[in-house]
Amino acid sequence: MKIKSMRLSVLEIVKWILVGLLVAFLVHSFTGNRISKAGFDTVWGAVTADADMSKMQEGSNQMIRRLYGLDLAQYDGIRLYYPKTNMGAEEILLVKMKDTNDQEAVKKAMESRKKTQMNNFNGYGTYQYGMLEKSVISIRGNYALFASAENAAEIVQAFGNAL
Amino acid sequence: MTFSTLSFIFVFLPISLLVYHLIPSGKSIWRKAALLLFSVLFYVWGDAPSLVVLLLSVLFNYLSGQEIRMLSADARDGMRRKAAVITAVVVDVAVLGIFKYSRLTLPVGISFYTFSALSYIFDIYFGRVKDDGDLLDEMLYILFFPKLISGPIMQYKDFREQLAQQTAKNRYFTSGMHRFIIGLFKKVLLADNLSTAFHQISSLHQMAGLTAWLGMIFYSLELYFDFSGYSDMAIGLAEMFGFRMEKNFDYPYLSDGVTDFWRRWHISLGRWFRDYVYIPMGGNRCSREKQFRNLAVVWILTGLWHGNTLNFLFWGIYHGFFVILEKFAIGQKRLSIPKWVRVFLTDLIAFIGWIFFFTPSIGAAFRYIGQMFGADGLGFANRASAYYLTSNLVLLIVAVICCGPLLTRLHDALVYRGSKNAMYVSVALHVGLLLFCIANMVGATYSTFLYFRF
Repeated sequence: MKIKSMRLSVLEIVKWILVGLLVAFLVHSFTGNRISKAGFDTVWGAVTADADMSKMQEGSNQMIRRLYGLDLAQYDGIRLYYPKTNMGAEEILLVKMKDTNDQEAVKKAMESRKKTQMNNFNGYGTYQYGMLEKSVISIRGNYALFASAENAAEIVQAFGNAL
Repeated sequence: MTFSTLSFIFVFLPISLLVYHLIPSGKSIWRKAALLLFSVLFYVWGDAPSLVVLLLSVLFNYLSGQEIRMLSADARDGMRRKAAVITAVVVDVAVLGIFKYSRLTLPVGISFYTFSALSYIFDIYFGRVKDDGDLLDEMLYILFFPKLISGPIMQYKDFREQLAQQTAKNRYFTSGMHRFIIGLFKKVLLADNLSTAFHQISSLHQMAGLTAWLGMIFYSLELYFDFSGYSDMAIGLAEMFGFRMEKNFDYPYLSDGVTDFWRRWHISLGRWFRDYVYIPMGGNRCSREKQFRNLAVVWILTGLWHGNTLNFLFWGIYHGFFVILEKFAIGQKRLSIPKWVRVFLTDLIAFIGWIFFFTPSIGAAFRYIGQMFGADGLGFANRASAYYLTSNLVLLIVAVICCGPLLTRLHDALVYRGSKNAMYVSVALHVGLLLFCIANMVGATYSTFLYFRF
């Protein structure tokens, strides 16, 4: 009887420790995945300030759908700049989500595009392949960025600061 | 990771099947451990950061289950036992609610695995399973990768029964492959193409009535083939590993009433609500007022389970209204209407309901319904409507045919009643279908499953 009571007490304690860990995880998620109130144009301006846009052209809605499979109506804002020529690998896609539940879908779309481009240049476009390898996908709350450029790290840094 | 990706079909699945089946069936503990490991890998591949929540939830529910098991139902322990159940339910629902109703990233599959965890707790509490509480069994039940992310929501007592048999039934392997290929066909060839057709229309700001009707029909068919395709793949995968799962869809668009529709659409969710909410509240065995209350609660919860917007709540109430109407006002009188009319009306109700799924707000949903009746002033049909209809006509016809049992009957006739040659034809057709699906997957952009958002 005493052993049973002791076991129950231990179970109870461990159970509440787990609940505490769940709460800690939730608190961490709330603080680390904040929704940014920064306007889309402000973030776009910050992201492109240091980027060499001369090698890119603006993508139409149809191009965004074709390259990323994303439906514009689902998002608060999307803007794409993609290579002017087939031999370019410079690309920037910025997405502002209405719902952070879409993070996974946007991330997958960006990863898929990156993979396709890497496959395209694999074996002959060493420079482009290297750039794509260094490209960054950053998901921060309601914003997502895909940056493939020589200075992708700087662009992502500017993105983070703008949020 | 999803089932309809090349990495799953060519890397994950063959390796996991090979390892699992190489372990002798007598060594069930190793088989379970291997399956658990692959299930964790499957989850991590798709959503590594959320693994923490999943594992904490699994362990919490296991300990709650152990506590309930240790406490007897008599007067001395009864209250404490009840408190343990209530605590588990409150914690599980709170975690689900916080993720669903805050703007945090929703851990993949949380709606489904939370319901599995609750089934575990309830089945122990109501004495539906008699076991000592094996952590490996519980973890495998919740994490079993075919059903982890998007169901079907298998109940613990059913899973436990199969685990207790110790040996996996390899004889399900071929039927599992068939199921998986059919699911892949539904997803890759039907749902994804219907999605393209639907998105062409949904991006329009103004449209004629027929275009809006076509958009609604494309989405309704897409949702069915997407989710039933996923379910078929999940059931097929489970069978390849020797587990049986009940079907999750039974030709829902052939239903002749809304109640009937819900016996055929997402069957496992309906059964979960029936067994763990509706029946414990008194089910049908109580006064009409209480039956009404019970149904209202179930439908509000069904709506809330699906999402965090008013659309889903409205959608749940909308379906609940028709179920209650059929039960209390129409009853058997509906049988006087020809069956095809009943099927048509049921589909109309279901299809209009799906508008609340694809629109961002209730206002937008009603605006869309208005567009179906010419609110944009472009008439019933125009050149754009004709274009969308003719360019997707073949797809539409194939999809409508696949909503019924014709292809299943053809398959059964070949496999079960045909000659040996007919069997070869069946195998060749399956291989051909698989290759065709893969060919489509190679060039396609990543496409997720619609029900992943729930």
